[in-house]
Amino acid sequence: MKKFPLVSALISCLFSPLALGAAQIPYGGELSFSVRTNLAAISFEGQVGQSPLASLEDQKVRLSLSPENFQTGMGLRDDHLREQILKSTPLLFEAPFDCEMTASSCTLKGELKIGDKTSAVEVPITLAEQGQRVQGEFNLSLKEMGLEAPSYMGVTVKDRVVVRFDLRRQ
Amino acid sequence: MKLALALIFLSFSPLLFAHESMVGKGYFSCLACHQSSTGGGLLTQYGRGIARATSLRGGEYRPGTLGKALSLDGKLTHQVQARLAQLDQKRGDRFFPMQADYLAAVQVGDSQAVRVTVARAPERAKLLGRNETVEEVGGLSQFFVRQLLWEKRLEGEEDEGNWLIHFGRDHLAYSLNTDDHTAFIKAENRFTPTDFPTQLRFIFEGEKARHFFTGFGPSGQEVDSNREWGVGTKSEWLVLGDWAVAGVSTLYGKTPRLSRLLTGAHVKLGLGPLFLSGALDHTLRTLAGGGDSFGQFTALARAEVFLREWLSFSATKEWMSLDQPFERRREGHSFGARARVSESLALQADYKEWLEGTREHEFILGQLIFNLF
Repeated sequence: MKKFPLVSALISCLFSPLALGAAQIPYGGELSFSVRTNLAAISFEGQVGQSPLASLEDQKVRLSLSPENFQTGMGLRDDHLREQILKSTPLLFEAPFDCEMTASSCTLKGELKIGDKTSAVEVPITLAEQGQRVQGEFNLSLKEMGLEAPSYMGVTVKDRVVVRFDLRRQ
Repeated sequence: MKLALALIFLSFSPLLFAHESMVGKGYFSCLACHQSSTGGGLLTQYGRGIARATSLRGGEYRPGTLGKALSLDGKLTHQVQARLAQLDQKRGDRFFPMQADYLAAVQVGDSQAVRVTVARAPERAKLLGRNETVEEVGGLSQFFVRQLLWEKRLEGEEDEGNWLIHFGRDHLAYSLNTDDHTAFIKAENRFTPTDFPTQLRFIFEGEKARHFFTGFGPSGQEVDSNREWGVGTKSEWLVLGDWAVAGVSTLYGKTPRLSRLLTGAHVKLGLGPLFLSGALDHTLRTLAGGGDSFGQFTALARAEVFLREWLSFSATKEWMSLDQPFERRREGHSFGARARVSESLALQADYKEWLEGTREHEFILGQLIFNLF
């Protein structure tokens, strides 16, 4: 961070809720996930159709994703995801926004709650457009989260779920 | 008119292919839902689940007690496919049973299976509304074996994909799979109910690529002049993320009358509720004994929109041109609607018209499709 004092100052300014009177700053955009299965040529993709997707408040990044906003392109799959994985509860992620910046990237360290499981996760993010845009991609291990991989009539998803996001300040 | 009827009959005798549109839902391969890599035919348990889930009825498929007992713990699979059709065209209307197939598969150990499909075709004389016997095209008999295939799966490294070996009778894998067999890309390339050659086929099913390498010979059902020997390939790649597929096909075959060399390319795009597909094939035929060569182009462009998972509408445009000395030009379009009511029942209606020279052809075909397991 010390290497980029100007960027640092700019990002701090833009992301500082204090600078905006501790207001909640909403971020919208795209959040998608993909997972492969035990069959080589079958993989599933999904997205979260919700706005805003995330917010920054009191120096904390917060996501609360409602189960009904998860879409995988097939009704039954959505039902299984919502009932078996999310347990019909919102997916929650919270992390203090105090990560060490390297260039325009840093890693958020926070807690992720999926269904009735909570686990510490690290989410690398990249800031662009003077902090107006936040992008990232990370792998989520179902096993490490304590979640059982969904399986339906012989087709079982693999452990690693790739999560991608591209958010813009609203 | 007779020609049109014969075309409709030959072409719409269906295989109930895997829906290519499933690429938009993450299914690059047919193997999740169908037992065979070529798609169509026997469904897997998962495929039955998806058939139910994407139907108007919705919900989860659960095998019944009788089904479980008959399956011998999953070692045996049974299925019956049948179609009732209402055909309207200028000459008059017909209601007839178009298809009744019994399909079965036996699992032998973890890596081998034998699949068989016994099909019953309608009597052509009845179909044509005549009392006299009409000669069966290509030696098609009322009962015939549509598929008799041995499969061996070779397990590969995880994530690298699997190889399969097929030996037996089946349809040739090339270009787009489509259950509209009046499609010029199929009907003009000898793809008929009698065209189920004996094959030795190697298939690679990978995460982002699938390949078919086929050597084939006569099935024994053909008339002598149609007995064909040859080789073929079909490859497909997942491109542009997970929503687009590009493919190429080649086929060389030789009969006592002529040889043919088919080369083609096709694409499939799954864009949410919209599915787009297209194919362009060129076939070069050469008459036996050093005779003339003549080329043929066939092309198809289709858009299908899914208003619901169970309800779709499609529009298709097709072209065909055959060079001299058998010069022909065809251009047509069709509109279709499909509704999957349950895992066992679907409704389909198609209107198709095409122009050949100055002659116009058209028909409306309504189908009740049964898929019982």
